Amino acid sequence: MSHDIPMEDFSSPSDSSLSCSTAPTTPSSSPLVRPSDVDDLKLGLPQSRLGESDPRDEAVKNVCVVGAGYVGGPTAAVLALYHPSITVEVLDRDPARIQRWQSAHLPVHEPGLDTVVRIVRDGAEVEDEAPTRASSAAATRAQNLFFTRDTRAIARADIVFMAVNTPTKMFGVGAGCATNMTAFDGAMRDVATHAKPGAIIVEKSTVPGGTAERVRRMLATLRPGVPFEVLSNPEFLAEGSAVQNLTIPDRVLIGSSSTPSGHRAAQTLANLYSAWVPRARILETNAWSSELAKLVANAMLAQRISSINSISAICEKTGAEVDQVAKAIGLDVRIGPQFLKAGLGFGGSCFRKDIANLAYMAESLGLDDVAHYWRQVNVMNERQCDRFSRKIVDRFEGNLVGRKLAMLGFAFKKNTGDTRESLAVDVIRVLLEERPAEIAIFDPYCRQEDILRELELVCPGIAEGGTVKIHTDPYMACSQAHAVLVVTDCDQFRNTPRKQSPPAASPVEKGLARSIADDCHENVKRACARQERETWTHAGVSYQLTPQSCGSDCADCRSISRPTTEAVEWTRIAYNMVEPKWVFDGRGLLDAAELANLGVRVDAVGRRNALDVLA
Amino acid sequence: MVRRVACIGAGFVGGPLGTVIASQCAHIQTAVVDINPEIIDAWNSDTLPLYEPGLSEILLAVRERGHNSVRGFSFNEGHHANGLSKCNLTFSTNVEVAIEEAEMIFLCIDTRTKTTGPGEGFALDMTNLKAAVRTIARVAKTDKIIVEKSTVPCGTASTLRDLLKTEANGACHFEVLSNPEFLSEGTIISDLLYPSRILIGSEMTPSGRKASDKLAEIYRKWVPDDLIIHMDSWSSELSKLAANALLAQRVSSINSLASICEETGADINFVSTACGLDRRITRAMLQPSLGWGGGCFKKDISCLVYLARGLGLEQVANYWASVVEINEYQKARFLERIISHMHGCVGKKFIAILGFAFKKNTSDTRNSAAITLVRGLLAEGAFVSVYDPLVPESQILADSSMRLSKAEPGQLQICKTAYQACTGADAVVVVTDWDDFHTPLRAIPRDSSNLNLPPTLNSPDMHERKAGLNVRIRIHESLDWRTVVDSMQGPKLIFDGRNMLDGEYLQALGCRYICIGKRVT
Repeated sequence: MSHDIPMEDFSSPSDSSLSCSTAPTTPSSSPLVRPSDVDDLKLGLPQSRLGESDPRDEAVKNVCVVGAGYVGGPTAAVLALYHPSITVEVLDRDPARIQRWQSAHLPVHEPGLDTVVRIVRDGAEVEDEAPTRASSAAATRAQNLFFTRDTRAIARADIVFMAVNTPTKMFGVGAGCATNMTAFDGAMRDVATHAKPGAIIVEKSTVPGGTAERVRRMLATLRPGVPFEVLSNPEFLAEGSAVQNLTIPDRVLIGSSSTPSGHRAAQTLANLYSAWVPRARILETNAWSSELAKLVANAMLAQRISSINSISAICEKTGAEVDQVAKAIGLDVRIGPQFLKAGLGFGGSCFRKDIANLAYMAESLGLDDVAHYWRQVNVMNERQCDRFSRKIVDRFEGNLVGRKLAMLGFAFKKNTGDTRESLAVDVIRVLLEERPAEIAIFDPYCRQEDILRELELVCPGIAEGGTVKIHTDPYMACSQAHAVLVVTDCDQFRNTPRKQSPPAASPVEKGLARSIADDCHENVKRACARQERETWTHAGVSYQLTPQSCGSDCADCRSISRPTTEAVEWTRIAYNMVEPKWVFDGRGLLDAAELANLGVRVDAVGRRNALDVLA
Repeated sequence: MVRRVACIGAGFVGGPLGTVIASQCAHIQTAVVDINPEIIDAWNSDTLPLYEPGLSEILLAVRERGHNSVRGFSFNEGHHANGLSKCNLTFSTNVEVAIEEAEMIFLCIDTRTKTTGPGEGFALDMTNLKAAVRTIARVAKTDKIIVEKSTVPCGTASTLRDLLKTEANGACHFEVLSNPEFLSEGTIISDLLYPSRILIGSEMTPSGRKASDKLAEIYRKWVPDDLIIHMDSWSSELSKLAANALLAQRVSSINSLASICEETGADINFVSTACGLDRRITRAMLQPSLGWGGGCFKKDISCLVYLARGLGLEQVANYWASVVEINEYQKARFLERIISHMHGCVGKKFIAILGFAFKKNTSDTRNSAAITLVRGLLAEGAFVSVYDPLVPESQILADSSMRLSKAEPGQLQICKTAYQACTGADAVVVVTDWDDFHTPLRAIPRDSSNLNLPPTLNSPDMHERKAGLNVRIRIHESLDWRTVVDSMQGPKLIFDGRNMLDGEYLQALGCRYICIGKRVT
């Protein structure tokens, strides 16, 4: 679910929403169909379909996913995997992105995604391992996932998924709260123009409540008299576990218009999902409810974080320890243990965006108390981050001039190289105003240029200033530092061997069945070696992957660097720090007592420092 | 090993706690003491001062065992109470003797929200608790372990330690532990027997830890070891407040969304189900309603707000205060909704209120939405008739009285049956989720709060309640909505403040059905 899923495009996040390449936006021309373009694709539609076609998908032969971004790509790949008989086409107007989806270097990094895409995009030898089958002879599975810029894909589709970017509107009425629907509306116009009569249009993107109704009206205006059904089917994907969230979802929500034909459309979509999702987890509601439920789920998760963070503020002022409190609360089955880790606050794009959206909706309905209530969740989050920065300044008696600060981690959560919407930026902004000598940043996954670009957005000219330096080595970053700030919850930064984590990118929760992400893990490794043919087994079927290779001049192949998964040595860091040797733990992942033995002073979120006790 | 414990305060916490300890630990002599002789007399009689499912059965078993061991026959594994003692559970008013004899003293004293002075409406009144601790300091001749069971402000353990240091003569050693209760009315016995966790907060010293172990040893008789958590007393005190605050927040959150649903086309029941399916959110406490009531939630959140404010954390205080605000807003909004559905004027109209308690199976009316509704409707000049299966008439009158001086005589009527209350009513408002009020299709109670009770203790259909000296035995009886609707007068509105009725069924009977979090079409 969308803890912090950026649904923005991956190519140019710094620009305004107008550059959202997931969507065919530019309204002034007709950008989608350009026959002269050499990049235009020939669609290799499969001649024969393999495997028994499931009678349930009889009605559905073609599916089009509009938007090849973070949501569209993985959703299309998983759909194609479970429905070999359905042709899934992913439409995007950005040629560079389409090209990447067709290459060995996907634009989206998700555990397991590589393998799934290779099977459905390139075809594979399939062997059914189920012993009941008489013949276990290998068969060939044809390709059924295609990436294209051709809008004719819409015209072929029985179901059109809208997976375009819907960022927060940053200008005009509702700036910072409302949803910018430019990309969505642009794509919708194309869909309205091309879609075949009777097509089902599915909202995957997070949209404001009532959008399904609006889309219906839009279709009625542009294509009067033509029957269409509009469904809401919000995604619940989290960065780092998107494939798993798709294959083992907690629930699938399908919102329909409460008419007979609406229910039929919902049934068609439910049948599609029931190929791999238990029926009990597929919930049909009206479209309003399902649109709202998406916002609410995120809002309630964010609220848990803000709640425990508010408690952490109390803990720091008293003798309580926030981890103890969180554990004690989490044991109440009515509350549950998840999302009760105090820290710097939530980052990523989804939570803030969805809460702002919810509050804006309440406000426009005249429900000021409700708007205020939910806005508090975001306010608390900002305050939490602010408190952290202020505490650092306080610890240096309000004077950071001439000090070196080292920052461990930059991304909004562990195991991701996504630099956007990170709270690190807010911390740096506050600290820079105190004019420290240097802020040195190390993050095991983020690229230097991404970090600088993010910082430029809030502190223009920072790249030239020279105060902020980005290191690829944690010890360089921390060397001669007066203070070390732990900003991201990377396991590499832990100082207790007990909690040493398995290698990165394995966010699979305990107790779940062996998931796709697990299955793929070994393969992804071997794919790097690019030797013998790779096989992958999932749900009793084993797939022989088609080998893939890039040209020898492929820049992507050369630039692949393995992130450091090794734990940092705190002894070494502590030794090379300079007095007063402060370590500020913004994620509560360090063992303070252990660290204090190394001669550093530790200040952790949600815990009173020993100094304050004496005072 | 602790052999003698005392519970000071024989109310909702102390009585059941003492009973359960005595029943689970035959080797422990348990004394429940209170300065109020009436309450103690009631405990010693056959009519207990409070009703809780399972309580009388357990108490009876403990007493039986006492009788049997007098006859030289012991049920308990090898432990016999030195031949002459009868029962290992006593209720008495002799506080000082109990303190003197006990090795461990549970403080189960009511701590109400202050109604006067600084912190009024937020801070807790600690007078009784401190008085009890002073008594302990005065009469104790041996070392004592003092356990805070009552909900107390954070830092009370250290306050009490200071208090004991100054008040006591120094001859004996006191340890103060925090061991917050997580009991809810109606399921106290089940909460005690099958707790989700036991928190023990102690001073982080060797002697503190030792005391903590002694308390854990008592619980270990019936609670799995991994559910007993040791921590510092600050954390355990705060955990209690935070747990209740988070629970109340869930309800407020879903209720705030109900208001959005009412203005749009969304249905809160769908939204709540969809969110509850998320494993990280879980489904409990997401039922849209008229808001939470009862004595604890508001008290604990207020306490948290007061604490945050005192620490200079204004944002934190506001954050939690908004949980209470939404709850008040929810009640006020429902009142507005009733009025607006009756064309903006309820004057001289007849409105029936079904249920007055803040939740089912209790007669507790503290912070019940019914109070807001009844007062509001009376102020608007409506004729209000109230029916509740358990709440005594005097309680309803007392709770509704604020505006009664302005009200005409006879404007408020307390009825003996739901049918009486609904006859001739323009509108019926369901306020409490009593099982009796369910419509036929949903007659099976969805509440499973009794399910973890052992079968012998589970008597869901029987609610006995002491009112004065009489015990009322109540058999659960389903309301016949057809009769209700037939006896109403047009426009026949039914407002469901608990989303517990089957709207389609009621509409088929010829009335308009309005529930929470759904637009009326």
